[in-house]
This record gives sequence, C-alpha cells and structure tokens, in this order.
Amino acid sequence: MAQISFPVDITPTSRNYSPGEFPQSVFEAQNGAKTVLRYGSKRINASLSLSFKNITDNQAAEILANYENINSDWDYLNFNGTDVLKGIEPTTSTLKTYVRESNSGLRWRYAKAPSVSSGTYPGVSNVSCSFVACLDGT
Amino acid sequence: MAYPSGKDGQLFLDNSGTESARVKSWSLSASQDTIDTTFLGDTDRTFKEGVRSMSGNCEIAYYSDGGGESDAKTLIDKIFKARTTSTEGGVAAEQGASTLKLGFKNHAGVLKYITVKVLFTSMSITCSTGEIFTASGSFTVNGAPTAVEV
Repeated sequence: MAQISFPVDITPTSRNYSPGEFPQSVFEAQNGAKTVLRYGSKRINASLSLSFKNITDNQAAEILANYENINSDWDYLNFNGTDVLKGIEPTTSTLKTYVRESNSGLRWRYAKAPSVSSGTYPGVSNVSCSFVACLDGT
Repeated sequence: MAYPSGKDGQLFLDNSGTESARVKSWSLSASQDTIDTTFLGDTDRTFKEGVRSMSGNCEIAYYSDGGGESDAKTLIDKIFKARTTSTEGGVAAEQGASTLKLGFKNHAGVLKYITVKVLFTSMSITCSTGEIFTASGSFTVNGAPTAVEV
C-alpha cells in the first residue's frame, strides 16, 4: 500500500466533496425515541467527485493510468501538490486539509472507474472521477 | 466600382458554368464554436476553438419563356419531390447533395466566390398578389468550403 500522487497539472472544472459520516446505527422505537450506537469517532466514506471538461486526450490517459496504478495494488491517492485543490482560497484554508483528508486517517481511492467521454473536438476529452476515502484496517 | 453590391452578385448551382438567372439574393454565414477551458481557480473564462459551421439562404425568382424556366425550378426540385409510386405515400427520391458557388464581381470584373456543398433544410415558394413568384431556400453547409476565393 503506497501513496501515489494524482496527475499534477490537470485542473478540475468542478469538485464535489462530502466529509463522510460517523459509523453508527440508529434504532427508532415505536414512540419515536431514538437510540444511537456509535461504532467509532472518526469519519468514514468521505467522497470526492471531480469533473474535468475539455482536457486533452493525453491528460485523460494520465488519469486512467493513475486509476490503474491505485486500484490494481490497493494503493491510495495523494492530492498534495496537484491542481485538484485549485480554487480553494486562501491557500492555507483548512478546507484543503479536509479535502486532502490529511489529518483524518482516511485514504482516497477511486470509487469506480473514471468515465471518459469524447466527441466535442479532436483531441479533447471530458473525464469524471469519483473517489471514496476509507479507514484502512491494520 | 469599389463597393460590390447586389448587382455584382452571382450564384452558380450544382457546378454549372453559367450563373443562375433571376437571383434575388444569397447569403452565407459562418459561426465558430468555442470549447470552454475554464478550470477551478480561474477568474476569467478561457476557451479554445471548436468546430465551425455555416449556413445560408438564397432566393431566386421564377421566370419562364420558350427556353425553359429559371433556376428557381432547380431550387424547388431540391426538396419538392413527387412520391416514387402512386401507392406509397411515404417514399420519394432523396434530395442529394448540392453545390453552390456564391460570388460577386470585384472592381475589375473578376469573380470572387466561395464554393460550398450544401443540404437544403427548407424551401418556401411564395405566390402572392403584387409580387413575383419566388423560391427561397435555406441550406446548411456540409463540411468546409471547397473553395474560398474572395
């Protein structure tokens, strides 16, 4: 399990991030009273969707190669130093820390294979990526 | 003659060496698509060039004499097709590709032109009191022009 960087110079067109939820079960009685069983104090299943519109075919291929690298060996992603977090201001914003999941123990992996669509113009592709961040068991 | 005008305009249909007579007007417009390349963090929209497209229209007055009809008939025949057999209402000949050479003469009388392959997308014929009978067709250009000599 190695940390592999996302392709560096590819900036997304849009980004959707959800920090995930805390593992728990909720039991609701007939009178509506709720009992919550908490299984952990750390967030799980954070999700990140990235949309790359009108990038070059070579950049699309870089993303596909990254998907193969990560998910074939159960490695995990590192967004540090990439353009994935571009647009978050100021650069010291803790939002970056959240999206990178650098302090949470969560590790990003592709939730499913990237989707590549072409047809706008020769050499131009649109790519959608979905990531999920999980706690790795030891 | 410095500014060409309507009287200098010419239209050649389907690679004919003779200009169409009684042409009232022709127009051709081109547009260029843009592909948005604006990404997160950008403050101004950026783009690269996408595909081009062209379309236009032309109008020819219907005229006939002992020698035949003007090219308004050729235009009308592009879309108005009689059914192939009398029993099958849904089948008639296809339109097929057309070639238009849209031109005008410059100050020296030299023809300047753009030649395009087109598909007519609409055709209207109008016959009304006080006006001459005309055929007006709109077309979409198929591919890039085959010649641009303007």
